[in-house]
Amino acid sequence: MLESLLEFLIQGVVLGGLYALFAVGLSLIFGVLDVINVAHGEFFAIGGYLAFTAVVLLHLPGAMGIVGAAVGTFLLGLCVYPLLIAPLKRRLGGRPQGPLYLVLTLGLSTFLQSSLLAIAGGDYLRVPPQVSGVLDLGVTAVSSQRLLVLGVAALLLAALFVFLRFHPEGLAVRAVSQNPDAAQAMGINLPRVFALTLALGVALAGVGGALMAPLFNVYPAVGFPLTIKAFAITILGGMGNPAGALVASFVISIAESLSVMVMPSQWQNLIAFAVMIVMLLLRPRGLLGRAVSR
Amino acid sequence: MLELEGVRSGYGKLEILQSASLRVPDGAIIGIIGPNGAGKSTLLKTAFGYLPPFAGRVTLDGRDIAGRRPDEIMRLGVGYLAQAGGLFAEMTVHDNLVLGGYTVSRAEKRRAIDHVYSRFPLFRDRRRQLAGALSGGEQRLLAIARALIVRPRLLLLDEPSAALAPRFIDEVYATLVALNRDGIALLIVEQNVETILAVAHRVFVLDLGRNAFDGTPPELRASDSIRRLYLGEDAA
Repeated sequence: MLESLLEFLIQGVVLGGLYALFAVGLSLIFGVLDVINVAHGEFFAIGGYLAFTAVVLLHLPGAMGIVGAAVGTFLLGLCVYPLLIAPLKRRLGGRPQGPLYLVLTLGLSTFLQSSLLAIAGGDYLRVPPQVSGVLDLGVTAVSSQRLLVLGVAALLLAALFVFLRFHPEGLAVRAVSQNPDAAQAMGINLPRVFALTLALGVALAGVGGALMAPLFNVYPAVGFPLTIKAFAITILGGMGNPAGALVASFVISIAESLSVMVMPSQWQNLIAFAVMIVMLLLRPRGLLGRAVSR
Repeated sequence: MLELEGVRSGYGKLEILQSASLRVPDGAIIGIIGPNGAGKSTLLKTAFGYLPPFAGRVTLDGRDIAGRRPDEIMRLGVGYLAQAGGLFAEMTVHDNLVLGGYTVSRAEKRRAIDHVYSRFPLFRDRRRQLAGALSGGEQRLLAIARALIVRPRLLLLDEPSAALAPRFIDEVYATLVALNRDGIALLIVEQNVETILAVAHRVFVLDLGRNAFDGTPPELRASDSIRRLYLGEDAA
């Protein structure tokens, strides 16, 4: 019993790394831009395709697949604000825009999925692992690829939080999330911060896609279920609070992993949404509230 | 320095300023007073780029700045203090000051923050405290100190005395007058008429989005109609 508990706990922590990589970016984007990015999962898929292109088609080392996914999705993400969100914002002026952004990013999601389908086809693509082997932890064995996902996620998220806390541009991101008007009075270029934040957020998802490509197959809609789950995670952590999303990612992944000890595994995916509904009913602000700014 | 000419502006399709003009010469203290809804704050927001003017001219040193973003206008040497100070309440006092120096070099920022700490030792002692935990008067002083880090030539202030206890109003205005002596021009929207009349070189009265008076404080006091309407006094 204890061995099973430890085994599922370890699997849950490893899965939490992927959830965090995905959900922290989604939460950061919402916290700063007030945009729920429904297309987040498509950047995860693009990261997978870029890794496939680098490793399988161009025969580059696995690490280049990860770097290529990060750079590619970052550059794509840089275009989203000036090409899509800013023009809509200009048209709408000061009116509330949340639902329209939702529809806009849903449109982007469909557009990107259809583009991937048109370019790469609907086949399930396999990417060789960036690292091979299995680490025997005694109670369980974890593939090195899964540990790589956790390690890279820990590294990137630590870098993100250090950036937000200490770097002048990170302070600017936090300032904009708290008081955009006052941030402009400090000389902060709002469109630039919005574009940068969106690019950073989707690049995290892109790296997640490249890291998970050897574990999942790559196909156009691979990221969409993750987007839906990330909504549950960000609601649990507090909408727009990246630190909350980080904590909630591990809460959900560990709860999902441990759930198979007490219920059939086909119920596993319901955990996140049950937690989301309970959270919305009891504490809609989430575990840590909304605060990129702190 | 700053000049607005026949400016019309507002929110969405709602026109608040219907035709407002004013001039802020180098080194002057200019006050804007008027009843609620007259368009005083709208005028400041239009001058600083938060609101694009529907019509009219906004120039700084003769250069057209209408329609420019606030961060661009800030980089031309203009500071803006919102009504409630515009601090980042959930960030520390120190981080607020660091953000105040966002556009200057690291060395210059450090020098300026050290200067703020020597001028306001209270902020050095409470540098790790959240800005939102300071009292109202302290927050207003911190907002002014933060705006000074980039050495602006002109500060736009929206009701710097609002919701402050009298002793803090005196402290805030003493600080503003000292800044003006150092050469910083001030354009101040104020509800507290006596306070602004005591320091301003020139006062504009706005009413229903239009200029209703433009003159020195003694000239304003000498105008029976203006005194009756805006100072709530009986004509002598």
